[in-house]
Amino acid sequence: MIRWLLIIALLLLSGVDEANCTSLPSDSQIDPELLRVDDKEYLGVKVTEGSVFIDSQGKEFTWKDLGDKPVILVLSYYTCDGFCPAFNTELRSVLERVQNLSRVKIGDDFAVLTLSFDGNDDPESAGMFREKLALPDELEKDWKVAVFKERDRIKSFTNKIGYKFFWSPPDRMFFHPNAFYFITPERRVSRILHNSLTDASDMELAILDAKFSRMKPTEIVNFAVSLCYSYNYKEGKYGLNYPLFIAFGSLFGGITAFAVAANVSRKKAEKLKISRGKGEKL
Amino acid sequence: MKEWIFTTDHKRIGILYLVGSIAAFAVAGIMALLIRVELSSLGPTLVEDASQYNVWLYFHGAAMILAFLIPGLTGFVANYCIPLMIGAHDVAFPRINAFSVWLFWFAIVLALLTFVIPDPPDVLWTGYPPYSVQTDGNTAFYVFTVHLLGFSSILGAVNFLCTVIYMRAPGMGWNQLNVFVWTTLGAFVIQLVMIPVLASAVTLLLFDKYLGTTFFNPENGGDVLLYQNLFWFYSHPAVYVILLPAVGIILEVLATFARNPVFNYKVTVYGGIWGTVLLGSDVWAHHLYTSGMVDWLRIGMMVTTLLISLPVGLLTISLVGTLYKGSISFKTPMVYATSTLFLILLGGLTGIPLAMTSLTVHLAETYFVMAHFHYIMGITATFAVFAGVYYWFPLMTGKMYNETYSQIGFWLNFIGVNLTFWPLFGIGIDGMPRRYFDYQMYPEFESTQMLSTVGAFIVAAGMAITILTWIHGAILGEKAKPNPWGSKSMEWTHCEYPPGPGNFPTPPEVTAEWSPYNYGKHTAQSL
Amino acid sequence: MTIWFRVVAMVSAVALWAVPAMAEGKPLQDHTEHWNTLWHHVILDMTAIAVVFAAITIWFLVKYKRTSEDQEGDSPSLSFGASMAWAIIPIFLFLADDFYLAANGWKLWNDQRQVPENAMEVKVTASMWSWEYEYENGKTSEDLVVPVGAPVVVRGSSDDVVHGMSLADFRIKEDIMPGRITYLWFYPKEVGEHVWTCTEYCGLNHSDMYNKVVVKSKADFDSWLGTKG
Repeated sequence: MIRWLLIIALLLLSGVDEANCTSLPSDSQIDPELLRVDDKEYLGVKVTEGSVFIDSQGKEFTWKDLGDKPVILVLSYYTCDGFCPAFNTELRSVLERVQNLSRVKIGDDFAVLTLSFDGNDDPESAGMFREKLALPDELEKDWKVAVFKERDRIKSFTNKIGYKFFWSPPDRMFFHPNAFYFITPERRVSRILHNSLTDASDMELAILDAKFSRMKPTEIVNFAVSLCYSYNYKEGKYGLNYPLFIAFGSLFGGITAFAVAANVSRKKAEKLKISRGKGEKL
Repeated sequence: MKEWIFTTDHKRIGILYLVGSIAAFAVAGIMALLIRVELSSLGPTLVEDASQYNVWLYFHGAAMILAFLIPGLTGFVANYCIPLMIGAHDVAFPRINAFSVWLFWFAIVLALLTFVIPDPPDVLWTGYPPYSVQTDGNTAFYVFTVHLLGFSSILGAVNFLCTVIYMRAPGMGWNQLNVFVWTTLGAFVIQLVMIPVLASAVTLLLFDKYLGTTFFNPENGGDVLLYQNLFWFYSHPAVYVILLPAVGIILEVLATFARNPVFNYKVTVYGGIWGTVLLGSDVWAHHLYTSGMVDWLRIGMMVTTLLISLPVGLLTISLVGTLYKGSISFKTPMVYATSTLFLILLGGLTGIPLAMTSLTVHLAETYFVMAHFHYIMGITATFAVFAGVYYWFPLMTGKMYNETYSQIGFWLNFIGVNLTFWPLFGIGIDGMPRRYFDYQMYPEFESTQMLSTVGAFIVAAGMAITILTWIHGAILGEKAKPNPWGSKSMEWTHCEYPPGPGNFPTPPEVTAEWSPYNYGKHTAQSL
Repeated sequence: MTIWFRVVAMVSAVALWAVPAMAEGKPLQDHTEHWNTLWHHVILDMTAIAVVFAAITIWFLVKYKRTSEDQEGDSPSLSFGASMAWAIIPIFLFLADDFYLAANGWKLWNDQRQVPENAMEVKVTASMWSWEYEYENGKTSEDLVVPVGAPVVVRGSSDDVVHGMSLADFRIKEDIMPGRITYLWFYPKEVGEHVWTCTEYCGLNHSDMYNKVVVKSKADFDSWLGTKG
């Protein structure tokens, strides 16, 4: 383990100068596997226990206040000048595209919570972070940037959902996973997406997944959409659920065979009728 | 010999179906006995571990459903009777018909290879992945057996739908058809539309196992539950493929032996039979009540499943109603038919708690479910096949079976099945899981298991006597009188005994008053 | 006037029954008890239907036995109205029964699936052919040990094939599989032992894949949980 940490540190040291504040660092800098959340281990975990948060305006809230809808949870720290803002900005632009697809709407169908895992963050730094994020009006209302009220709860919270991070003194920055947690209305983890350049449709499908148990009959289209895709753990994204389409296609196999056969029989039967009419022997 | 192998005559093909399905029934029945002996005492009884036992389970389930019940009802009875009942000289495509019976025989041979190949399939008749993909067992044999039987069934379905639609005797309207013809049409519509879904699902299973695809592997984007949905999408309606023709046969027998028309014919046909076909395709998820599907889907399917009671209730009323003011004689076919009136009640009503998601959350995968579907599907349908064989025996062979021995066989069967399955309801409610090789966690169930095994051996004796009465009757039986039961149905009134090639000495034509149930003062108009 | 009075009375009775039922924060529902009650209702329902049908069938079979060889049946022809009545009346009777059952079944289902807020979380992992239970403090166990008098939710997935979590004594069951998270919850009322079995076929040792559910007193449980094992 220590060996790996050294390797990472060295790798990062070699790349730290080029680290660009506005774009995502290239993959070569960190071994993404190492900081990956083992999603199979942490899916289904409950996140609620006793967490009280303070948003960027200094207002306290809990999970309950986020409403009876899925939440996209992003863990960040607000003094970060590279990765975290970029990651949240990325989420912003993906969500803008999700809004344009207009299958799920922020506010109605889900909310976003950016949460700091750094005990030194306070509502003020959260506010500055949020400002830099430059959220458009439509996302503004239901995207909270917040800190923990009780700092000593942070560690148990992140441990519970498998989020490992550490402070690297030489870089004066945190190393941490870049993951979107999808939290169900029952406040359990339903999906963890790692791809920093998440596809808008993946984002949408993960929201639908988180919402699956609460879908109303009016959301039949969303329901059908989410049935058509299934999650690929290895690739960390959604793909078409092929057997469903193959099976649906095969529904027409028998009917087609019958249509052909019925056509033949009909002609035969007509011929028979004519020959009967002429009094021929069968 | 040659005239049997190359035959395209629907009657001979029907008898080939009968022989093949009874052979499958016998072997699968022996598997049932082995399973029962194994379970009769705690710990290993017959074999050391479950590897062999699991193959018995597989063969018993797959063969009973796919190679006995479905071909017995839609292969044998439909082939033999439908052209005779509708006054046709043969089916629409006789050569395709011959092809489908040989596909069926080939599938039986393939299934029997289970006992010869080194790693026999052990995936049960359901073949759920990922187990069916990960197992060392030869899942391919399971898949190919399903393919052959499925293909054979689709060809049969196409053939008989065309036959009934285009080859009815001149003058025969839709409301003059035998109820059995209607039930078979319903069954064949299900076969035609839904079998391809099962076929494609098991094909993907094959690809997953042997070609390394990941259709059902969640690690690579597959969905485990989707297979279960696709499987039951066909395999639940398959229950109606079995139940409907079984009810059809029972109604024919009841009508003949009570000398009454089928009660409330039009409601039975358009409400009972077609209602079952329509609703039956929307209830498959009750097999997935505990599978981890999303909650509200499970509750939705509870409502559709409960609604099945409406058409099935109509069918039951028509079964009982047919007896009203009848003239009932209790010959062997009728004893089998009347016994099913009680078996259907038992099997059908125990389906009510199983339709309710919340009760099934406990009952699923226990002996309760097992006893339930053995009553409704296994026993009721088997007794219906037996009623059919006895009923049409004089027609098929021109000879008569031995009434006394047949009745003895019936009583052994009837007592035996009840002794086998009644006690299992009880330990099922107490939690005995099905498909278990051993039950160390429930030693208190041992005596009940033993009782059930005793019952199974009584059934075995009854079955042996029953099949012997057929063989004896076919070879040495007395010559049958024409139309011994006094039926009004066309296969009895217009044919020779047994019917020759072309079926009818003169092609039948029927009047508007004719119906297969013109008993007493009834005509087609009063049905 | 009286009819309106009755309607109002009926509606308010239903409302009185329904409103508290819909209110949030309801007390803990022990679904095991509820299951047993509903089961008895359904058994009664089934028996009633069975007795009616069987009695009529036996009556017909005895009464209408053939008396002479050439006797034919004498069933009446149904008029259009009568045949419709024989369809519609039974349909409504069955439908009423169906909806009664569905409503009750649904109510129980909600209890079975809504995990109480204070339920103790246990993570379960199934693999061929054993179960592993992991507690929130990281302790793992091969038997499911729980404290008495507090709801427990067991949640997890499978490492290999589909298995089934079954707690027959608590009338609850749910499959467990790779790639999805499933759960069940139950309420251990008394100290004692129960059986946990696998109820989805999983090959060779399917029937050996069982373990104990040990319900301990709160103190015993706490001391058990404290020791690493």
